[in-house]
Amino acid sequence: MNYRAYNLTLASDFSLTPLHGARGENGADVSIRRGTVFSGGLPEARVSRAFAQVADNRVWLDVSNIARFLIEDGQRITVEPYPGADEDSIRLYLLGSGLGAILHQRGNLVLHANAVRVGDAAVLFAGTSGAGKSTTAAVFHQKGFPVIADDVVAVNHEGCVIGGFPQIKLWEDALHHLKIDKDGLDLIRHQMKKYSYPIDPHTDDHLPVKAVYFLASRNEHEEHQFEFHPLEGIAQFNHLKRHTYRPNFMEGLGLKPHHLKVAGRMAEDIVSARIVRPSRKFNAEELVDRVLKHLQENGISTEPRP
Amino acid sequence: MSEERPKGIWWLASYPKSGNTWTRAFLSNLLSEQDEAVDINALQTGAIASSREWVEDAIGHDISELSHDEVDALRPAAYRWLAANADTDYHKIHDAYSYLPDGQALIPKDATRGAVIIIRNPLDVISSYANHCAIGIEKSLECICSPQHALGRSDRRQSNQLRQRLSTWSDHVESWLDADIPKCVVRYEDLKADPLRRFAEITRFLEIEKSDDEIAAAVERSRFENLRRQEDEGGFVEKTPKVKNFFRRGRVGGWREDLTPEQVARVVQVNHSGMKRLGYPIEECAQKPGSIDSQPVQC
Repeated sequence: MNYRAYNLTLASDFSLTPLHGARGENGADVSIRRGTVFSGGLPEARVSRAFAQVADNRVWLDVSNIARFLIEDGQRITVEPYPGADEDSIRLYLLGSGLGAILHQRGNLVLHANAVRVGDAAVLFAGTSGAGKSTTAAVFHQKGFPVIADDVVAVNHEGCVIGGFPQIKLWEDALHHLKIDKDGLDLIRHQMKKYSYPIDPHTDDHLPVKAVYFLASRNEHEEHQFEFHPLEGIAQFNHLKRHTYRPNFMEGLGLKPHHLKVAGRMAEDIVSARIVRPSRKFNAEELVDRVLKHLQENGISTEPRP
Repeated sequence: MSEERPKGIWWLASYPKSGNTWTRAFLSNLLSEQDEAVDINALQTGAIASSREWVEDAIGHDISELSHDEVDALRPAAYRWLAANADTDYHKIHDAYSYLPDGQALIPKDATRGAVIIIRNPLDVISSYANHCAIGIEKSLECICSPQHALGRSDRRQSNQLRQRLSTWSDHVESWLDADIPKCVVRYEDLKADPLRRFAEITRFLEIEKSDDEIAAAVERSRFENLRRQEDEGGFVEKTPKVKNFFRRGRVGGWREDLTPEQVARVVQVNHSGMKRLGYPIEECAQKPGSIDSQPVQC
């Protein structure tokens, strides 16, 4: 079956719901096939971690009890599931680390972030897991701003964000906070209380990045305490580098110089700030209001598109 | 040079609120090249063992959509990788020394150079922990007496910390005392009573070559009053909201004013084994408050 995401056609042996289907069987950009993936990693690995090895154009992942993955040349993913692995878990890694590696290999700047459409531009929220990216994106969605990518954001060589998956992954607490009924939503995998919240697809969108916010939290902060620290120059660049999606992929694939160039070019034209929020109680609506105000103060139109 | 360096992580292990940050401040000052006290917001020891970011980078693939148990199963391999590749040598840990269902230790022996185990009288931990978490004494007491007590255990949201199983105070300290790894056991009360001697012992255990003068200077710069002054002037990132200070009193024996006799009895009943092993005079604690001092525990 063929699917569309990140402006790519994916021909897959595995179901990739919630991605939307694509017509025709020919001309796929990426093939995802069931096959044998060696267990010992890559002999020529440039960068190794405990369960990941990366060499020129090849990323090897061993996800215990789920599958081994080999991602090559920005075109092929081979998957060898572990016995008893469930499809949801395999799909999560295909759409996360698997496509993340493909997007790296295809020369995009891949960020651990969410992207929201504001006017005719993309506004990004980067941060580590648990920083509040998806919750923030969901509030934008509720306010009528389309969410164009969740968790993995690809920025192409023109500094444009490419539309990702038509879903936001939200924890049970976030659903509760956002007053979204979890009944009728699918769990992303049965082992987790995290749900797939469907949104309109924006898979073929190309939007110039106008702003990047880096979400961080601080234990000390009170409930309504948000700090905006503008970022410029090297500080902004270092934040982009730090929030690259799986830096070990980028490094092992030998893409550092290329990313430097793309990030450097992007950094010239964007508004950027580090937002420090309280660690515990986190008022996402208030954060979004502050961000919209910050965008307006920096001359970026915040009119939602109909 | 790095090839000659013995492999393995030095762990700074403790139950929360037992003197771990003080020890980290001492080590940061000891290892610092600068001629003034190290900023408490820039302590130079490495990441906490439960840092999601640190562990995930070592694993090499996403772990944000794995359950707590699934992540725990990967942690031993992550620490082995880190032991061979990590930049910093000293890592705080609040997890109990536990074993996975397959029998392997969460903190593998072959990834460990040794552990400084810092232990504080649970009766004093209770009020400090209550303050830190902005919970009442009774709730804090329940935590310390609960075999299920764990930090970051929610499965409804994600935190930047992995789940840390603590269990009761007694189970926690005994898990580390019984761990088959090189260890240096230090009681908070002994650190307070003779910081120079105790921190010198820690320095020797950690194979850090520093003179007595350098150790004395680091002890001075990490004195409670100095840490507290820094916090008053510039805040402390590890402090939680609704709490006035992270560095609160640093007292030994404050429990006499903070806990009722019934609360003391309950803590002693549940944590009897560990308290006895650590030389805390449990009968006197419960019956004749006022005599907490006993023979110091040696490294």
